[in-house]
Amino acid sequence: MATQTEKKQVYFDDVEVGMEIPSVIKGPMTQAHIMRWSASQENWHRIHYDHPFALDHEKLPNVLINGSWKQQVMSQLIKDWAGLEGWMWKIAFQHRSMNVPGDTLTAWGKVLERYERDGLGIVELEIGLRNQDGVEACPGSATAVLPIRGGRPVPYPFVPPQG
Amino acid sequence: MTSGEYITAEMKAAIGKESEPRESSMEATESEHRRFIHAIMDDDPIYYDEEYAKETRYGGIVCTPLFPSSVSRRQLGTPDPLTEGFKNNPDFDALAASGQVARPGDLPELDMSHIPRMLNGGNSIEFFQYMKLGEKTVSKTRIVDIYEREGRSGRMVFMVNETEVRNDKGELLMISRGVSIRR
Repeated sequence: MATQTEKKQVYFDDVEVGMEIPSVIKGPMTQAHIMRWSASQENWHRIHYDHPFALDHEKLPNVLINGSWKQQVMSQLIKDWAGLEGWMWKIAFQHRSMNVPGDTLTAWGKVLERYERDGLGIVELEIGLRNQDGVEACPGSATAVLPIRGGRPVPYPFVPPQG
Repeated sequence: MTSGEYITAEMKAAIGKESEPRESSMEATESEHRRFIHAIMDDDPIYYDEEYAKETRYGGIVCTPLFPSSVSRRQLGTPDPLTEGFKNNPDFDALAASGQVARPGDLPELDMSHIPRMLNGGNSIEFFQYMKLGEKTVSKTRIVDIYEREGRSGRMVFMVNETEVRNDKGELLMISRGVSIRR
């Protein structure tokens, strides 16, 4: 099994504006997956497991995948890309569309901007979460901090760059 | 309706108010964390392989980035909000009986019954350090702003909250900001 150490650390030097980062794919999601997350969160909101309630009472198309679960996938995307020597500094996104059982969700990211600050490599990304039909559910942005070859390590606990 | 009624005096007075620091009801436990990881399907060895994790700059197993939001749960010996909710309303959606429970020191609840519809307007999170098993969190929530905007579907009220989460050693873990839209 490939471990994180065997994975290549991404360096700021190798990042180009416009490049896409490796995506994180989950699914197809089922009602059982939704139940597993809801139970782990002690989230008993019926729109996540009670099909008749979701349709008849809330007029939804199906039970819904939790927004809180999507947040986990979005954070995995940046955490994995930044790697053990980098840091996921910020993520931000909105919830624009519903996701339902049967959806396969792809968290994606694209480099918008890169700059050096205080000896650290700062990368601004556009991020999102698309279903199998390309419908965007979570448009947003992220900031990753990457080491620069020959530069200082990214501090942990993370200390934002000065200046 | 005048704008004074839309953002009530009570709401206006709440801008800038901050909760007391509230300690989580539980510490991060291996079992809760394991169930969380099964559900997010991210088998990163930093979450479970001590030998591997101690070689990283984290110095040992860490919790998932957003796990600090999952350590306040209803304690035993408290009223059951599910049973109570259904007793009063067979169509109870159970949302209010879910997840994080109200804690002493929370901000007082605002009366917003005149704008009952709520939408999640998005959130942003800043990370500083990952939580470790055995730690509790201490969090403070502040109402950053409440303002009104004219949208396509009429007037809407935006509420911006910020929550700062530390571990029980006082070390900063994360800051999350959320926007809820009401009308």
